[in-house]
Amino acid sequence: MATADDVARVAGLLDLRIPREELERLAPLVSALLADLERLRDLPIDDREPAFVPSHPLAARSGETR
Amino acid sequence: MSDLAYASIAELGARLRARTLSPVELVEDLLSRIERRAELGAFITVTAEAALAQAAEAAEEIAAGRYRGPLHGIPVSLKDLIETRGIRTTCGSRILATHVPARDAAVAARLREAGAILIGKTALHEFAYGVTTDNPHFGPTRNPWHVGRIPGGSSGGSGAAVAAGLGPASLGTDTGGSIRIPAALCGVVGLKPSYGRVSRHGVFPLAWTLDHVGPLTRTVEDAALVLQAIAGADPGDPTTLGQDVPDFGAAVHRPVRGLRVGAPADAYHRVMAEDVRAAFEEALGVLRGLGIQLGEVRFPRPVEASIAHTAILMSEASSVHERWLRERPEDYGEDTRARLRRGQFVTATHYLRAQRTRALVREEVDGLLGASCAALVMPTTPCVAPAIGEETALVGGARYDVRDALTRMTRLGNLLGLPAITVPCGIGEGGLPVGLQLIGRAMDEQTILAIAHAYERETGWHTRHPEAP
Repeated sequence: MATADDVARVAGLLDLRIPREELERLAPLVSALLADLERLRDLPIDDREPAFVPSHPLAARSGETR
Repeated sequence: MSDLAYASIAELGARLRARTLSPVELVEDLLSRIERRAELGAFITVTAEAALAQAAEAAEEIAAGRYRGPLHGIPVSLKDLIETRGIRTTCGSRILATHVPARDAAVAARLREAGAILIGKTALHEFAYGVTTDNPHFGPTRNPWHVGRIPGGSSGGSGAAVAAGLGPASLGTDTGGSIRIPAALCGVVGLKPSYGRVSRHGVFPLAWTLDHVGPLTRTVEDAALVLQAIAGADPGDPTTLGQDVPDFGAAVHRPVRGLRVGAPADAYHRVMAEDVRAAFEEALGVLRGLGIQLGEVRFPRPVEASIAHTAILMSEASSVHERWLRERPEDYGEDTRARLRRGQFVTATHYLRAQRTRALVREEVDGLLGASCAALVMPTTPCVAPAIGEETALVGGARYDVRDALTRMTRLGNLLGLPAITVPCGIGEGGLPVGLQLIGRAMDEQTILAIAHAYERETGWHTRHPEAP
């Protein structure tokens, strides 16, 4: 779990000017967000390029919907 | 209450075309209703003078035989992050409180060309970054079914306006559910088209690769009519190029018997409040009665997809706001600023991991929709409208953050760019509306419009309206 001091150090490196009381509130939320993102690490995405724009090769044409 | 308050675009259009109703009479009636329901906080700006002038012009054109089509003389409102030339566009923010654009957004221009009359700019969650429309700068928007409840968001003003009879249509935007959530919580129809179907040019972004523009209306047919007017290629938004625009109005009347529709039965999608579950199960029975072949399906990796959506949303939104967040953070409301701050801690590697996850889930869902069903069906939100000021919602015996709860069923549609529609499907706890969501294949709005229309005709939930004081 990241502490407010941890988040403050990262904020300092990124030159983000965030008041201390906001950092205190942010720390558990940032921790939770980063923990969630770790869950994606184990997915089979090694051979995937980023999607960016969700266009689909399967776009249905009229009459192909049944 | 006049008979105009809850008339559909199709009904109003027929009367306008036959000249048994004048656009001026229609706009005057509407403006007086908007004034009487000011306590809802549905509008940030009402463009009364310009609307009356546009109405007089429409009346002249129709009388001269220059009828432009089904939206000619129809009053519409726009979420106040859609740019309107000469009319302030605040994004529900202090930062842009006096911003007057020099151009129309592509969708605003298309509605104008179709002859629609702009009656005002609707309220939203600050910069569209939230689901309550409890705006720190303009005050809360209230749900017409219960003024102590939220209308949902971020297009909460649009949902409240359409539900309260303050215009038959409004355009909203949807990045994680912001058209469908207010439509569901306010008991109206909300359509998020496929990504790339409708131009985002001139619409203030929340997250470029998740944002969609679409209509909130009181009937499915009306949603199709509005979509017809705003859909199509626009050089200002390259993601719209290369598409064919089908006849959505005709698609509404397609037969639905024999269509295969999947109801996700995974644990993620089964989390819902009991009143919503009862309405949803009843709706499934209606769909079966229409001859639709329902089957249970497993939505691939909904939790991971949801995490990817959050990471992409937060990264892109924080990038959009980077300069203002650095230079004038005090001008944001507390909840918006906190969300924007969190996004600053998502690294480029995290963001790309989320986008690669998006590619994986997209392929898996394409397989699901390609092989076993033409559409998916689920509740739009897992609970009815929470009270204004509530930070958590009770869903299936557990408490969830209101934002997480309300976007649970909708945000995956944004990640995948799939078309989705919500229609009213019942009344839940506290006399509040419940919405039914249909999600279709990419660029196939026609199938979900047809199913939604058939459902609507069979049930009549769309004819229920909140009581006016």
